[in-house]
Amino acid sequence: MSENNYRDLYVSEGLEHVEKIHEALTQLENEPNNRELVDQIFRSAHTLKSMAATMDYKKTQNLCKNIENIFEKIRKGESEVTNNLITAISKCVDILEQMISDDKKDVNLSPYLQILENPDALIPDQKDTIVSSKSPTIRVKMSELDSLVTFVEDLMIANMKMEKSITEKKSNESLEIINEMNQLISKLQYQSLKIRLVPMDQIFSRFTRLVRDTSMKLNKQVRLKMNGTGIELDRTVLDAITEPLLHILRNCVDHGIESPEERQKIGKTQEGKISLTAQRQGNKIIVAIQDDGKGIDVQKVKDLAVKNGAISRNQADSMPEEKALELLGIPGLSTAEKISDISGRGVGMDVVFNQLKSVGGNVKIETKKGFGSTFYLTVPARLKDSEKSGSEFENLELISAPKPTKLNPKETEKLNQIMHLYIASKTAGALSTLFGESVNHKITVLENGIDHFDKVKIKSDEITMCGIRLDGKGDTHLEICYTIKLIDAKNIAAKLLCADDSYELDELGTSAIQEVANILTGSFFNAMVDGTGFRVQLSTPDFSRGDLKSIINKSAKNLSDQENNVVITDVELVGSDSGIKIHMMIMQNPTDARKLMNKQNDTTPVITN
Amino acid sequence: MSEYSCKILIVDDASFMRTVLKDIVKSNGLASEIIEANDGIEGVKNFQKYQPDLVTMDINMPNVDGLQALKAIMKINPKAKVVMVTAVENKESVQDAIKFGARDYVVKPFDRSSVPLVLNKVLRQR
Repeated sequence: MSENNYRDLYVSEGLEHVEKIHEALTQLENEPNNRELVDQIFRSAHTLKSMAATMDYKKTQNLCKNIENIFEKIRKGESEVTNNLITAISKCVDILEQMISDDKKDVNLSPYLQILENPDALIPDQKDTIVSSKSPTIRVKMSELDSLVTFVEDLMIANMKMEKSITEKKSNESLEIINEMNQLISKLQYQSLKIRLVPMDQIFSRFTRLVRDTSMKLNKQVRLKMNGTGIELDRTVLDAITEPLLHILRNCVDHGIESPEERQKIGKTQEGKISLTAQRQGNKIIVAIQDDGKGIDVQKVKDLAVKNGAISRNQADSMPEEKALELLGIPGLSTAEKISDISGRGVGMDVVFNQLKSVGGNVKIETKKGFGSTFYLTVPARLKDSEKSGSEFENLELISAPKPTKLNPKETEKLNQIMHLYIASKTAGALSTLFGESVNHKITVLENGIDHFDKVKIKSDEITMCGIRLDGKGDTHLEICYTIKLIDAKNIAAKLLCADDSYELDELGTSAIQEVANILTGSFFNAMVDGTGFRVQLSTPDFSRGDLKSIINKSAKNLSDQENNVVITDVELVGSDSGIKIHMMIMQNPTDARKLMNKQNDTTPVITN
Repeated sequence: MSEYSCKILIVDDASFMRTVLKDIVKSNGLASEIIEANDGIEGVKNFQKYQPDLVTMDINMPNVDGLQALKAIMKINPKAKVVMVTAVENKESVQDAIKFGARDYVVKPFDRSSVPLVLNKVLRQR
C-alpha cells in the first residue's frame, strides 16, 4: 500500500470516528450519566490518537490525547459531563474533523486545549474559514464496488469477443455481442450512480449541533426532531442541500423561535420545536423544516421588496402571500430587525433559493403568523454526473434502473436445458412418487413476454381451472403458477385420498392439490439449490380458481416492472397411465434468469435421482 | 401392532397432509391418540394442552412457521420429540431445526415405508 492509500484509509476511518463522537456527544447531552456513551467517545478518541500517531500527525494526536484524558477521568468518576464540556468537546471535534480531512491545514491548537482544560470559560468562536480543495470522499459498501468490478470485467471480455468476431467477420455474432455490451454499459452506469448515494442521516448530527450551539448563544430553548432515516441522496445533492438546510435551521432558531419569556407570555411552551423530515416521493426527495415560532411577517417582506426596488407598491399590494414569500429569494432581502451574529451576515435566503435551483430543486415556504413556518426543499434523489457538467445543472435527466432486456435465442436454449435438468432430476420423480406411476415431462421456454403466453399449449377449457401460485425469494426470485384441468384436479385428489371416484374439490381436495403444488415447487427448488448453491425462501401458496392469465399477470407484476419481459418456462408433466396433466409455469425476470444461467456455469450438473 | 400407546400431534396447515400422516400413523399402529393443529400457534397450544409423545411439524406454514413453533415447544419442554416435515430439502432450515432441537425430518412426498421408520426411531429415543 502506498502512503497515499494509507492516508485515504486514515481519512475515511478517522472521519467515521469523528462522526461516532459527534453522535455520542449529542446523546450524552440528554443522558450525561450514560456510561456506554462515555466509553464510546473514549474509545474513538483513543483509536484516533493511535491512528494519528501512526501517520505522524502530531497535532491531531495531541488533541485526541487531551480528549481521551478527559473521558478517562469521567470513566474513573473523577470528573463529570457538563453542558459546557460537551460544547468544548464539540468544538474540538469540529476542528479535528478539518485536521483529518486536510493534512495541509495548520491549526493553532492552544485555544482548543485551553477550552478543554477549562470548559466553563468558553472562548469566542474562532473564525475558521477553510475552503477545502479536496474532492469530497464517500464510504461505499465493498459489495457495491465488487459488482462494479465484475461489470467492468464482463465488459472487457465482451470487448475481446467483439474484436474476435469482427476479425472473423461474423456479423450475427457481433450484433449479439453489441447487445450484451449495451446491457453491461447500462448496468455499469446504474451501478456507478448508485455508489454515489449516501444516507441522509450522515449530516443529521451536524444539524443537532448547530441548533444546540445557536440556541445556547441566543439563550433560547429549542428541540430539534429529525426523521428521515434510510433516505439516500446523491453525494452532490447532499452537499448542495447541506448549507441551505443549515441556513434555514439557523434562521429558524434566530428569527423563528421566540425567546422563552416571549413564548411563555403568549402561552407557548418555553421550548421551541423544530422538526426536520425527509421523505422520498418518486425520484424526488422532499425535506421539510418546520418551526413553531412566530412565522414570517409577509407584509414586512413585501415592504422590504418595495424598498429594495424589486417590486412596485401596487404589485406588492395585490400580491398573494404565496408569491410574496418567494420574494425572499431576492438577494439582500432580510427581515431580521437587527443583523445578528447568527444569521443575516449578508447571505440571505437567496442563497438557499439559488443553491436549490442549481441542483434542479426548489424551495416552497408556508407560514402562519404566530404559529410558525415550514420550508419545503425539493431535490432530485439522483443526478446524472453533475460534477462534470459543472454548474450547468439544467436539463438534468433522472436516471432509472436499466431495463432488463429479453433473452436471446442462445440464452433461451440454455435456460431450457437447465430447467430440463432440474425437472428431470427431482420434480418429475416427486410427482411420480405421489401418483404411483411414471411421469413424463416436456419443457418449453416461451417467447419472451407475457403477451406471448398464449403459446402455452393448453386449450381454453384448461385455463379456467385452478391456479396455485408459489413464490420463492432469496438469491433469486421465482414465481411458479400451476394450472390443472378441473377434471384432472379431481382425479389427483381422488388418487391421493384413495377415493374410488373423482374427488370433489372441497377443503380436503383443495388441500391435496395445494400440497401437490407445494411438493413440486419444493422439489424444483431443491434441484435448483443443489445445482447453484442459491438459497431460496418459499412463501405459502396462494390458491385461486380464476383464469390463468390473471394469475400469471399477478406473478409477473411481482417479478418486474417490465411485465412483458418476464421469462416463462412451461413445464408439462403428464402421468403415463392416468394421463393426468399438470402445467407448471416457472416465471422469472430476465436478470434472475441470467443469474441462474451464470451460476449453473460454475457448478457441476445436478445428479439425477 | 406396536406395543406403544402414545399420543402424536400433527401440525400442518394442509388438511390433506394431516390426513395422509394420520393415515400412516394409524395403519402402522404408532399411536393410540392423534391430535391435529393447523398452524404453529395451535400446534404450540395443543402441545401444552395434550403433552404428546411426538410432534410432526410442517416447516412452511403461514403466520407462525414450523421453526418458530419448534422453538416455542422446546422452551416448554426441552425433551420434546419433534420431527420436521418439509417439501423443501432446504438444508439451512433443516439444519436450523436440528439445532433448535428437532430430532429428525421427513421430506414430502412421503415414502410410505420410510416415514413410520423415522417416527418409530424417534419414539424409541429417550
